[in-house]
Amino acid sequence: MAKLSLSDLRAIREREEKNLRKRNIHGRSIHVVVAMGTSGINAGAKLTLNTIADEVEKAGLENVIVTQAGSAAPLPEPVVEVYSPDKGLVAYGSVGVAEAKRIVSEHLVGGKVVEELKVELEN
Amino acid sequence: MHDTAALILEAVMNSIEAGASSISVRIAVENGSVSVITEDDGNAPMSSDPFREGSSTKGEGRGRGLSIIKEKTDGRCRLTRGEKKTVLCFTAEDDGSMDDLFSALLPLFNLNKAMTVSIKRSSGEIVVSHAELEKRGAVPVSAQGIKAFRTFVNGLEKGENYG
Repeated sequence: MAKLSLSDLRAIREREEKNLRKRNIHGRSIHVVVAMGTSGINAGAKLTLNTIADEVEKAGLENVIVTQAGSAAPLPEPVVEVYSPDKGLVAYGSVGVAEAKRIVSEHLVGGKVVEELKVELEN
Repeated sequence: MHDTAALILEAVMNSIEAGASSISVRIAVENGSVSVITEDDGNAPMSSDPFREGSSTKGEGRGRGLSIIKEKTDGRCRLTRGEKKTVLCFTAEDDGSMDDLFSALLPLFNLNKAMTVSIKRSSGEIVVSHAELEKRGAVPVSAQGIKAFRTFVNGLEKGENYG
């Protein structure tokens, strides 16, 4: 086996630390949560959840877990929260079908926060 | 946006918020109506009129699900609490939201709770349980699980049996 240099070892450590940070939610690196309280459902959150599920399935995103939670009021519902190790927690508001597709393609696939849809979470 | 499939989701959410660890949902679609019976083992405190808006014991601004069910079913709903189980029955209009079973069931099984759902329609009865989905890697929370869930539900609709 070839000897590893110090820089090789550093590179391996950095890569493994990165992988470790990613493996934090049921072995998935990105967690998508759709707020599904009564107000969310009334605003169309069921369709939002189904759209995200469809798109995640179509894109074969095996590093993503999609679940749901209760109400996100007073944020503008349907609300979708995306947690990823590199971008942290980002909340999106008024997420209909078109917006759900954008979140999957731009944030989950492209790794870029969709600024126009972002809403500030209350502390 | 509360279609009949969403009312079933509200009923299940209500069970979960009442602390249920096991939930059974029986759905019958016939003669233009959808009849739903949910049974759970939750034991959260219940008010004397749980269908009245604002009567929730869960706190301010919460627990509107049952009042929505009452409103959307024109009062055709009943909740009974036994020693070990709570039963909620309601009948809603068949608005077609149960036709696409995949879309109707995914939000229920995405909750990742011990749940069994049976659906009786003119084409026959099908049963989906969380335990069976787990066994098949078909709990719809990941791309692979969603795909397996779709295949499973489509198979059941075509009359394929499992067991």
